[in-house]
Amino acid sequence: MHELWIARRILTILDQQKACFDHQRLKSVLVEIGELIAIEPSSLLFSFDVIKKNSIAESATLFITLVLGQAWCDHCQKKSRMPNYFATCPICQQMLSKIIQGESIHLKNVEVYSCVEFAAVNVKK
Amino acid sequence: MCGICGCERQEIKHSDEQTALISIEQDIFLKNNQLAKANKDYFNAKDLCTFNIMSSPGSGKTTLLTQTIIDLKAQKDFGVLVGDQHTDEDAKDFHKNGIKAIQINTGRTCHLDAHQVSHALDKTLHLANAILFIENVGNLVCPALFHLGEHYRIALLSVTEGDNKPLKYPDMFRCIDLLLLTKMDLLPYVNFNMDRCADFMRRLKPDVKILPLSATHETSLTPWYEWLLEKANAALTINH
Ligand SMILES: Nc1nc2c(ncn2[C@@H]2O[C@H](COP(=O)(O)OP(=O)(O)O)[C@@H](O)[C@H]2O)c(=O)[nH]1
Ligand SMILES: [Mg+2]
Ligand SMILES: [Zn+2]
Ligand SMILES: [Zn+2]
Repeated sequence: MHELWIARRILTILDQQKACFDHQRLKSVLVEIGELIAIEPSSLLFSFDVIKKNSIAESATLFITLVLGQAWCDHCQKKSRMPNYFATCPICQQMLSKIIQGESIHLKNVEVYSCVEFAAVNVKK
Repeated sequence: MCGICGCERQEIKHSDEQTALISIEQDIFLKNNQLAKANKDYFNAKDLCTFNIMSSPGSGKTTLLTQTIIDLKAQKDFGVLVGDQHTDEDAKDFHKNGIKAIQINTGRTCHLDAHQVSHALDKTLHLANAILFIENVGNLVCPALFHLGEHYRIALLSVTEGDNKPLKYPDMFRCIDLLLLTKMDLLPYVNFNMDRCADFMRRLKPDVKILPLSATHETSLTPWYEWLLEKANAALTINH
């Protein structure tokens, strides 16, 4: 599935960015997934665990947070929740089409094991 | 070596309680989108109007594309990139009919991505000023997420699959420019309500174009050919 593709992409990005964390071991990786995008979190977690072996992220646990879908109702001139693509505006019942958020997937940050001195350096950044 | 952080230093305190957060902030699809943009630049430079053709397995993509190219080859040059998880059966089918085609095997992945397409373009179909069809892997979920650099997206839905597919797979059906309802010759034998299907489609994409057709009935293909040639000719005018 495409979750495997996404897990591979995460590893590639981490590998490219490894200078940023100075080769310290990774404790966790945080990914933010929009609620509207067709990505199954449990499937991504599974894929990540399978392919992380012998990679830069071997020691890391993947965490996923969901970003709620949101759209703009032209009729009411208001923001509205958009839990799925068929959602209508709760006030005027019209179809929502202008999506504001909930369709993207981002690698947000990593948490590294950082023994005392490193921690001080990284906090200053 | 410290088993916690991986460092070599003895003098500092090692503890797995101590962690630091490092911000990355990267769009996972950024790379694919950049490669798709590069593909599109290539298509534009070669005057290739490109159509990403998506559907479930067996909706009739290969059959329709073959028929289309046979019928229109006097008017236009065509090429096909065809994605499948395994085998080059589809490319062989195209070749049998004298059509320029390159097979892309995606292995375990269920969609084409821009990177795979760019490598297929390296092999080159020696095509310019033509229509390029990209027959995607048969799947109604994954291909929708991956831009390939195409100018238009087309989905096929055969009447044997049921009229509620747009409801079940909104990610796919909301991102297309044209819906082709295929195998219309089978409509009398199945329970497929065209109005219901069109209604689901309009809720996802109010201005979507829907064309019913059957690869086995020549006259039903005319509106599709008109749409296709109109788009291809318009794309070429825009580029010049
Ligand atoms: N009855 C009928 N069968 C069709 C039509 N188009 C394709 N088929 C059949 O549907 C099956 C799958 O078609 P194919 O083109 O391989 O689908 P693909 O997997 O989407 O490329 C084949 O057996 C075709 O002969 C059509 O318009 N009417
Ligand atoms: Mg096929
Ligand atoms: Zn997939
Ligand atoms: Zn409203």
